[in-house]
Amino acid sequence: MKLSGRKRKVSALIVLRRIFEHLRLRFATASDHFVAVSLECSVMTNSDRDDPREMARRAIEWLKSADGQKSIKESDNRIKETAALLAKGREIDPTKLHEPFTV
Amino acid sequence: MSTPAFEVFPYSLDCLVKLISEGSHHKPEDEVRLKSHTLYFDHYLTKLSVKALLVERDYIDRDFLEDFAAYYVRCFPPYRKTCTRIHAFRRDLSRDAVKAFLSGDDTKLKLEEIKSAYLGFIVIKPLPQTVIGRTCLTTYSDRSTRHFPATRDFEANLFGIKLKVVNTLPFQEQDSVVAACATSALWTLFQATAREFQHQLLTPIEITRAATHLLPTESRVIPNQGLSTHMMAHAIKSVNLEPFLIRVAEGKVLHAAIYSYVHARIPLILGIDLVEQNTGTNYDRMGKHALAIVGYSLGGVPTPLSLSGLVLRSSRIDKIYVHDDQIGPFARMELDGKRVEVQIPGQPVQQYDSLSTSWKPTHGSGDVRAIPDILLVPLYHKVRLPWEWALQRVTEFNEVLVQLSKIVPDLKLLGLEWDVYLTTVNEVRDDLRNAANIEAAARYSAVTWSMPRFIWRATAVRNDAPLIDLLFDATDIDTAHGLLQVVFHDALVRDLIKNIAAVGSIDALPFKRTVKNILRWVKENL
Repeated sequence: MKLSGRKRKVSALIVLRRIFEHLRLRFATASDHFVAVSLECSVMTNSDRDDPREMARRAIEWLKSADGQKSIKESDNRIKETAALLAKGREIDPTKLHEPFTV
Repeated sequence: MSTPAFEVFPYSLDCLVKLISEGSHHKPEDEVRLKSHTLYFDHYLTKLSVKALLVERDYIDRDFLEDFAAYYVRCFPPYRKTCTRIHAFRRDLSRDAVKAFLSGDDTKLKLEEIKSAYLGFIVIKPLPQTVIGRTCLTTYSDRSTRHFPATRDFEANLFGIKLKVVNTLPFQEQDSVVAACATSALWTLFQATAREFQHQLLTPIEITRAATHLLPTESRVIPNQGLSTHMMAHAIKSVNLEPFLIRVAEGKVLHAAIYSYVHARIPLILGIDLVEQNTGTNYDRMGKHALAIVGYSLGGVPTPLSLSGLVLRSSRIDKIYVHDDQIGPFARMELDGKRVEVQIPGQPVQQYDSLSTSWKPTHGSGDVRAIPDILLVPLYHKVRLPWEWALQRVTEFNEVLVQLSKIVPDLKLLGLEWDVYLTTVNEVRDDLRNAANIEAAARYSAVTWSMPRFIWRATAVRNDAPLIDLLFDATDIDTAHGLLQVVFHDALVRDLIKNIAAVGSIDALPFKRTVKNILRWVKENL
């Protein structure tokens, strides 16, 4: 079966992606640089944008910013709200402990 | 003429009714036919494609024998001490072929044919009303969304033939004399925990005695009218397990708590208020009932636990499977989100989350629903840290991933699904050894890392593949960080976290203590 030009290109990209996914593991171990093909078949290179060190630096910088601080505060509120929900599991009614299960 | 040791019948509802009636103490067939268990078993056995029933007469059942010795032997009517056991097979059988096999001639029937066709058994007690004794039936083979972690393989011996009931957990009906619903539910629990945690296996009468031993009651204990939560907790303590009580009136708490423990092969007691439809959403209370939860279905749509957006795999639970002594084994209850309006004594009329049941209404045509109240978890004493302790830590770490997703959206750290449950070191090691995306050195390190027997495992799942595993010590004290390991299944995410941990002082980062501990661990060990 002959594949169309676009299908050939997609097939080649899928093969490349599999190879690069394998390579990415090794490269990421050896250094902070990597090359991979994303699930959407767009090529990601070892630019600063995809450098984990650079990502970490940008993340920490953002956390220190006013926007980051505001976001952290919102996050704390959400954590408290979840804690309150989970605590409902401990709201045992002591008067019910002696009520028999009779049905 | 003496009764034959066994008989074989092709399966039909009429045949089942006849056998239950014969095995009981003169219970008429008409009454047997109307019994909810009979209808449930007919549906269940049909779904299992049962073709033949083999009836074993004069079967001695240990549980009934203890009950008989404690109560029935001193009754004026002459109750028998032996039971009838009905074995179910998914292939046609003939009495001649089985007889020939038992006589040493396997030309008509091979041992493997008998073993592979075996689906389980039902013991019929020689009592007037409550006749369903120890019952082990395998679960349905369709496992697309159904999960029965609390089941095990149980053995049955038929005239020396070693048969196996796969994926089951024993069930029996309360006899309302030495055992009430809570006793039957506890009995089912202990069938699983005795194997899991190696404790003594109690019979129904022993459970009732253990539950009431230290609790002075205003009335007699046997005939038993029902156990309270307090009494059930005592019964659990009597086998050296720790009862852990959770209130589950809140639906999300119910989902998360069930998943956390049943995944660890521990069946749970669910205490409910049964309510019967009066008009519309208005229901009348029938009373309190106890069940054993043995499985769940993950066929629902995942929903966030709260505003935090934390999505738990447990939120997919749309049905639970219970041993309901008034219905049958593996009875389905749907968590369909329907709310009912009812007055529970001591409370004003209000709306409650409810579950569907297989109960038939006592009057009219309305349905009978269950309002969940409590979960009682039988835990090994070393499982000290509870489910919400683990979930709180996951919430805090997930919030950091939410923050990071704003800076690195390509990593898709937003909307991860967290699979949080109690497990054991051996299961974690076995799973990590077979994980697809961990490098050999990291895998070796994770598998050989020193860990305690009980672990809270939280796996972040992205696009159906594990991304990060957080392993916490379930045996620690709750003021400790409890972190054992962090296992990354994605090298890029690992390197991002490593680099965050490597930048300056971790204490200076605006994160919760749990997250700082995770970063410290990553910094020191990866």
